[in-house]
Amino acid sequence: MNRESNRINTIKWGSNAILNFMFLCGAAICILPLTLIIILSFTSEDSLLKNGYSFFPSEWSLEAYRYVAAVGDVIFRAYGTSIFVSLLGTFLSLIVICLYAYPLTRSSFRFRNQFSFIAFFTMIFGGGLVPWYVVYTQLVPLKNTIWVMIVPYLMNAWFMMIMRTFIKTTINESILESARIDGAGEYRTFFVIVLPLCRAGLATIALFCLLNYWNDWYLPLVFITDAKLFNIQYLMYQTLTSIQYLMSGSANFVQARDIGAGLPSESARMAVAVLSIGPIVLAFPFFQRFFVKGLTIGAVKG
Amino acid sequence: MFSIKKVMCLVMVLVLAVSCALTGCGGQTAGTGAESTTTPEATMAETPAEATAASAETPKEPVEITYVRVGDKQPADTDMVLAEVNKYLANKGLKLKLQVFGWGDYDKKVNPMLASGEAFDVCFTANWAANYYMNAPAGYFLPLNDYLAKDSTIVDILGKDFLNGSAIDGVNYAVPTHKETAHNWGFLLQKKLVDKYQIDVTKITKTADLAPYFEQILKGEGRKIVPLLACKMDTPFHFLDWNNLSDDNVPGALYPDNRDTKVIDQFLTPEMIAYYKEMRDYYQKGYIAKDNGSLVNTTEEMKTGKYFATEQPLIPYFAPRLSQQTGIEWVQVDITKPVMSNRETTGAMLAIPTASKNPDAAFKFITMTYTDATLRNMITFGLKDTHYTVNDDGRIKITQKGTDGWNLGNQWEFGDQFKDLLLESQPVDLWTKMLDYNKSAFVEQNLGFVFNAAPVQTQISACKAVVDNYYPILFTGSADVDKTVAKFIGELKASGEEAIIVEMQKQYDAWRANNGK
Amino acid sequence: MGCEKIMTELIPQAYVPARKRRNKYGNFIRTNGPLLTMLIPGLIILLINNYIPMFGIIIAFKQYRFVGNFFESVIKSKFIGFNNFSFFFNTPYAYIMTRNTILYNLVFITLDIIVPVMLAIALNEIRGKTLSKVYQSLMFLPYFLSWIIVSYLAYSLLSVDKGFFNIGILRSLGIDLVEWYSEPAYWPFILVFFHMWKYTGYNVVVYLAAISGIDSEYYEAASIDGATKWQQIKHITLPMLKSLMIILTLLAVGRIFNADFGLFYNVPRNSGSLMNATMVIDTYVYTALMNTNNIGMAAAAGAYQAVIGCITVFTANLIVRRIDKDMALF
Repeated sequence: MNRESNRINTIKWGSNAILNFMFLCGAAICILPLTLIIILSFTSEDSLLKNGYSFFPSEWSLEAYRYVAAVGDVIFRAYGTSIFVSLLGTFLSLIVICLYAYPLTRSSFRFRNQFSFIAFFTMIFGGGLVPWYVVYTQLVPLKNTIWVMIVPYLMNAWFMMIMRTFIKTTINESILESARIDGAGEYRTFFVIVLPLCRAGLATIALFCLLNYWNDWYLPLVFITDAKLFNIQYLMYQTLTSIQYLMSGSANFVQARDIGAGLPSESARMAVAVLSIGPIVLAFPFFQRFFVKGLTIGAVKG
Repeated sequence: MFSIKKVMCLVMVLVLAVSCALTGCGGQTAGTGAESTTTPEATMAETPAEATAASAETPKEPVEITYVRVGDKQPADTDMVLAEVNKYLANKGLKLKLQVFGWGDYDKKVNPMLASGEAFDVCFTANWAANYYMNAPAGYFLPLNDYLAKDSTIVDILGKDFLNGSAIDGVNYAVPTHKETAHNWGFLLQKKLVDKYQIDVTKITKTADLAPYFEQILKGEGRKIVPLLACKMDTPFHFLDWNNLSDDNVPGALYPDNRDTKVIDQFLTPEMIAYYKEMRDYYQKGYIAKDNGSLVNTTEEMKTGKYFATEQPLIPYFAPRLSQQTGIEWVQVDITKPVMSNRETTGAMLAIPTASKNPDAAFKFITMTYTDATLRNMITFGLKDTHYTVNDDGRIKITQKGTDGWNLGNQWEFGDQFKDLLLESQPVDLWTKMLDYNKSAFVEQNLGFVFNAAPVQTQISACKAVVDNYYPILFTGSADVDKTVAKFIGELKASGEEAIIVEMQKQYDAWRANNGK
Repeated sequence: MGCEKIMTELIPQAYVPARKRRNKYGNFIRTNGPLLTMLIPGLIILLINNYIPMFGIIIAFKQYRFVGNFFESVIKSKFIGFNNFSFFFNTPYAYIMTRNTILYNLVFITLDIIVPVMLAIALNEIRGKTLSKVYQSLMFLPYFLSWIIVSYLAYSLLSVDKGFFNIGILRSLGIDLVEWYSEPAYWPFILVFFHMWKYTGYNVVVYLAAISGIDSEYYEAASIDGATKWQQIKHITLPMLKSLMIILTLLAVGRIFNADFGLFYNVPRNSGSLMNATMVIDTYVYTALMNTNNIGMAAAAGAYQAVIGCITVFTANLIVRRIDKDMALF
């Protein structure tokens, strides 16, 4: 760690205190809502209806989690799907994105602007939902398979642009030149020199990809009809929007009013929300060590 | 190379042989099944061509049809129940695959399936789900007139008038469920307050009759009870029972009592202005809570027990259902009389997508949902003794396994609801009462007129946005009426409301002329 | 730094002088070949996922009617020119929704650069790395909550008679209660607050990663030379972050006509009286097209937003190119 060298360059205690205070407030604003949701999931439905949301509910209860346990195997399977899709998707996505980003950083590459544009253009223009749907159901039939939840997000132009910038700022062109002189081809340079140096960038993009896959409810919404393949976010989304829809009045049929009886109560919805967030919050610290300043190899001296 | 070729030939021959054997076996049972059904069909058929067509399409094995419908979620015991259902359907040459989509998802899943031409066979549609009025003219559903002409079962059950109520330019693209065919509006009052203040509900014929009780309750209960709940459009606005020509939030309606054939903007009529003023009065007196403009769902608000009166769409025995669901006892007070309008004709229907590969089999299945009680009860309630048990009086009780594993219910989505078993929580005379209710309904003059929104689609979108903006304010009386209405009128004009009314009148007059009304 | 550049540029030339002229084509393959192959996986995905569906944009100009199958339907549907786009313009809300979308996005773009950069630098300077890590993790948490859940929380804060703000704060201070869901004036602030609350943690991560890549030797050298913290930030950190900030701004500018639907639809609970402050293009399109399944109009909406985004980002990119060619997006 750079503690030795940093001692010369640390900020004053006064400033440190101010910054700490500021961050404490910010952190409180961020963690309080999550805490509230956890508390709500342990609140009894009666208490919620009569007193609204509160950090100190009048009545605690496990009924929300009992509801969840009743559909236990569904949730279990959804977790499995989420984890598998997230891990495999992140791994493949990293490869695709980094392989695409690297050539765009090489000033010797004649077409870097054109290919940057090709990627970027997809962020603005789209053909619409139905043509996209047709591609994945008729041209490349992936509907109702696990792959349809992975493939569409493999090449995310936004992440790719960030990766390109990371590589460009971290890697000095001279390192690449010296590698070329030593006779290394582009692939070798990429895997042996560039990637290890961009650890912070890799970790960032990996985290973002992971979150992108984990949080996704849109792909299952459009493409998955087989309940065995639902992921945990879609399960939660489905519950919330069903309730939203039935109660919104767009369902202008008489029976809408008493269908609600079968749907989970407010505390149960909170329990599902807690469960869908849980694992990823635990995974976050794993990525953290790459963002905080660690050992940096001084690649360019003098 | 030589030997590989030989092996390949051998393999192909084997494959052919095996497949012949298999289809031959399957063909036996399915063939006889098909034979036995073609005979009654042949007698019913009006043309011999139908009989030959039926026997020509005799399936070697049951034809699989996919039925897509809306519900809470895909039931856990789907495979178990479908196995039994398919055993039952096998001798009719059908095999059922059931796909249930959740309430919030239904449109988002079914609309792309229809637009992209995905092949499935039976589709649930309504004016509020996979919007029938939009999808049918776009060519997504098959016209059913020929099928209905050849097999009059459905026509007999529903009645020609009701069936014509959902025809677009004379073509039926879907068949509605036989269920309640009328609607009326009224209040639900909290029973404990009705008893406490000794309110004689038989004397209540309009909102104003309740006003003195609102005052009493406000004084008597203090902050704990709000007299009148006004959430979204669930307000006494419905008592004016406008005969809308399009959605609830689109200007353009007829007077509900068939007094004339002039299309008007219902939101700006003298009756509505009087209503806004009444609501404003109640708001200022404190009968309506201040934040009602931002409430989202009526039933959840009802569950809190904070409200005395709420306006609801009613049908016979509605109060016991809601009482059970909200955990609070309600008393039903009917205000308007039962009316049969276009609202009911497209409330729940079954259609056959154009992209379906087995339309004949699909229609056969649909007809069965109108005639076959065994099939209906299996689909609605599950398996006897596993998912439900039968009481002595013929009503049924859902078991725990039924609630967890099947719990499909929603029998109003398909076929003839009146053939179903009754739950023990439903009164024994529910179906008879409903049929009487249907018969007693006042029939709106424009039953069967479907407004084609395409020429004024833009204006409709714009007006919808304006109405959605203003109705929460006006219906809850939260602002000065005259000022708000003036602004409202201005924005409606700017959105092209005039064009909508003119177009509606034009189409309606043409329809009346064509149908000799 | 400049010395190095000259040296590295001279050396290869000295090393292979004659080869360059003869093997121009072979040289091309040697430098660009492997790089082109690296692009292939990404290109395939882009082709399937983005470029093939793009042909569907012609549906925006047609009245889609289903015949036979999808492709047949697209070809045979009637061409109606720009009719599908008119629902954007023939509404009294055209100006409001466009103005709201652009203004909110401009505010978001500006704040999304300034605030996370400041916080990332601050986080980097705080004594005690564990504390810094804890703060960073906590700041990230709001990102995980879906907007529907956030709207429930917002309601519990802002509800007129049950909300924490009204009951907990205003009433105990004796101030008149505010009907939050009926007063549009407060909502720009409320919505900006929620946007920052949800995304700042996420954006900080990007900048923090970039800062951690800056060689600490620069800072050591600067502080030995007597530079204060502020000077170090101004002359080392910020220039190093410049390209990232510019790229992220350009990327955001390309989506200037697209709004965060979840935020604008769920948090105001679709309250009519707030329309002036909360209606954006995406919410208008959603309510207009909900329950209609008109894929022509839906495609038109997407096309409209895309074209404007294109024009804006091209212009911005051109400006950036004039200043510094390498900083541009393409």
